[in-house]
Amino acid sequence: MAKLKIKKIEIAAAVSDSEKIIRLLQRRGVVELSEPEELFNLSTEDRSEAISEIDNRLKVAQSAENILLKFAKKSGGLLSSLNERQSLTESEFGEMAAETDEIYNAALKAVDLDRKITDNKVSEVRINTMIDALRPWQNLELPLDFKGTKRVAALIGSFPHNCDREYILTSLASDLPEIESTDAEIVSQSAEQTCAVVFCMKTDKQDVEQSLRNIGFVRISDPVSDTAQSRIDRLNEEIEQLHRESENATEELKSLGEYFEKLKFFKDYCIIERDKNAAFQKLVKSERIFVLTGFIPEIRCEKLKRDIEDKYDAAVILSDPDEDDDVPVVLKNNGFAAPVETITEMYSLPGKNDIDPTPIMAFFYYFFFGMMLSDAGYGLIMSLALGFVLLKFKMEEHMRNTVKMYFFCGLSTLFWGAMYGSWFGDMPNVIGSNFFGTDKFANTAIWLSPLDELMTLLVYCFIFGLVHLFVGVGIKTYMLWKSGRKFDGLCEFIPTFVLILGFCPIFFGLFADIPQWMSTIGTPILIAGVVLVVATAGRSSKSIVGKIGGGLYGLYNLVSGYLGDVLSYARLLALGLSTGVIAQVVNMLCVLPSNNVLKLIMIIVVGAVGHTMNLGINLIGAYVHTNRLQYVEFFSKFYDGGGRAMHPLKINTKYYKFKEEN
Amino acid sequence: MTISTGLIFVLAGAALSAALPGFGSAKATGMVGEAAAGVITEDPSKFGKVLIMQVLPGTQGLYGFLTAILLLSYSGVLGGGFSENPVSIEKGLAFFCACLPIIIVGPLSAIAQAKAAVGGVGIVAKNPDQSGKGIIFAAMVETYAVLALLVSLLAIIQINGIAL
Repeated sequence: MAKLKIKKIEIAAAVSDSEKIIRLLQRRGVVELSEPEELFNLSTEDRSEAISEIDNRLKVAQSAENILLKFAKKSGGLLSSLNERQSLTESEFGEMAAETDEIYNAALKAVDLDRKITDNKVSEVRINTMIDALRPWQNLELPLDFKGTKRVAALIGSFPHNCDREYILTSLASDLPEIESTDAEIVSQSAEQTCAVVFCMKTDKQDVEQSLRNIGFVRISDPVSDTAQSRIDRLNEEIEQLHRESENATEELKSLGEYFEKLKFFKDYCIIERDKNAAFQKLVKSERIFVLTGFIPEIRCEKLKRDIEDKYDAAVILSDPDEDDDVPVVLKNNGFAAPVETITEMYSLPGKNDIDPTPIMAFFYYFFFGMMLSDAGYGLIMSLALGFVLLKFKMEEHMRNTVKMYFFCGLSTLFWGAMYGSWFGDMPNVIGSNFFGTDKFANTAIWLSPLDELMTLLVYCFIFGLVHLFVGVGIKTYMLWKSGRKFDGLCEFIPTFVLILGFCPIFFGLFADIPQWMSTIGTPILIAGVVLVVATAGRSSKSIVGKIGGGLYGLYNLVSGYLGDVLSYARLLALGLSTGVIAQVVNMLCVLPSNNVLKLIMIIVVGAVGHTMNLGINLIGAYVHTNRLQYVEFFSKFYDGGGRAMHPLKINTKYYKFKEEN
Repeated sequence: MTISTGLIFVLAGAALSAALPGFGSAKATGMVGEAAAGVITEDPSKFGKVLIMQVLPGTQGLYGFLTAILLLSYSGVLGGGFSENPVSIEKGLAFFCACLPIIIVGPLSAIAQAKAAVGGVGIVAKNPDQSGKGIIFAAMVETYAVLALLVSLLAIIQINGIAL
């Protein structure tokens, strides 16, 4: 239970078996492949082209999935997302893998159809703009590019303002008095534009047009050889056509909806293939044989070695990693500690010389979490709800562990809530005194009620903190002892322990009454501790002055450091109080009305909302501050971290998982 | 029904405890919310992570509220006992002084914590696997709000036990 022992693995086999062996390794998911080393004159293979091809396919699949999302049947609710991924056996996988080309083609088709629909929308907008431009000419029965008859010229165009026939003709007449035969017909009028046809003799065309321009006349641009109306009709037909096409495309997309689920498989398949190709890049090979190196947890070695050597002509060599190898870390813990592995990971995985702190931390984690949330009602709800989820759903390992962690935290919260006598704040008392006129439930605390014995509880918080810190120092001692530096280990632990123990009576005496005998024995222990610390803390220094100086400095550091560390555990009290008091406030609001029926309604409505909010906010608080106590106070005593997580070659899928047959 | 001078001090303490840390937390959660909204426009799936960042500097408001309620309850404003047991000037002033830590540290630490949390939102955006560390950075700041709350609570509870 802790860090798994890691072995170095080397596999040498025939190139013809490389595909099968990589597949086997990928399905087992226990070996992390190392970057290839220069080995004789063996070469590596470049598969980056295949990988980028697969990446492209993944992109297509992703866009197709987004498109088909609208057309696929939705299944399941929020809770069903807790369930683990669907399992596939290898033969099922083979069957589905045979369909991948078909799925990819469907994806391409979906992307094409979607593009078509978008293009059609753009075309429609363009055509509509054209129609809008033609609309003012709708009433003109001449083709728009009509130039006139043999002798008469027709000028078709618009004025940028509202004008009528009289205005046009009078302005022509005053400008060109010598020209007599002109006429004009207004096609349409609006505030911004007047469309008109002006007729004149062909010989006068130049002059008339010049004169018209002076009052803003512009010839129609891009005239068509057709009347506006028939042109509009044709354009409308085009729009109809586009609509029909889009509808057909949508229908086709709908029929592709069945591929939505299959696309998920396809994405998984692509990821498997990509990882496999990337793995191939880590082989070194000649024409006949290939070699791969990697790391593997020791407990997995035997079976893998047997499987590979039985099935293939291969040599599997296992050895202990060298001192300077960058060995990855795998944690393995029991059901109680495994859930808080994520907390350790979040800080940093154990480095080369660290032990896995998870098993010891797990106990303190649940303990402190419960103290901070500290309401039996909330704890009961948490553990019941999460216990139900744990029993009912078959979840992924990771999800299961998270749920389990909060389940244990809930149990601890229930325990501490009962110790403090807090059930949804003072709900039992509120109900008892308001509805049954009894104050029997005024104090339901099994141990002590925080508001009544604040100082005592504060001292207990400090004591729990000291235990936590000392366990940390103890681990440090154990590690030093094991690595052979026994004297250093003892110097780390005993002087600190004696000094802090001597300090306790004085320190706790500040907050609460302590028995006389404690203060009596406290002083000699304290003096002994001071002497021990001054004598040992400067031991690494060579000169006498250095030893004494180092000792005094060590003493100062120890006292100030521990003072800060221990005071930090006051948050156990503060956060515990904050949950309890806010819960009481909620209860107080509930029983504000004087009518008993109203009170009951308030308890159900306001109580439910208020307590849910209080639980939510304090959950976050408890989580954050429990983490802090572990990271800052506990880990700083012994833990370095800096380990690298193992990234084995495995089936890294999102939607399906694969059953190992055999 | 009379209102003693002491009670006015109590009310001043309670009012400021609820108001200033509440104001600080409102501003702080607002700052983080702005940054969080930016992340959500890019990647809505990070909602849960940035929400935690936003909630973090909200606790100071809660601490102030807690202090205020405790004070109102002890002085009899809640529950209506203040006319039978009037609060003396000395006790009222003592209560007021007890509120000072959370009144001062609450809003300032909320805004300081918001700055750390905005940084944490940046972590969520760029490297979501490490967002836990961003939470810890922000939580470091909160320590001092917790300590201030503790001093205020201890003082209020102890003063309540003293007959003045």
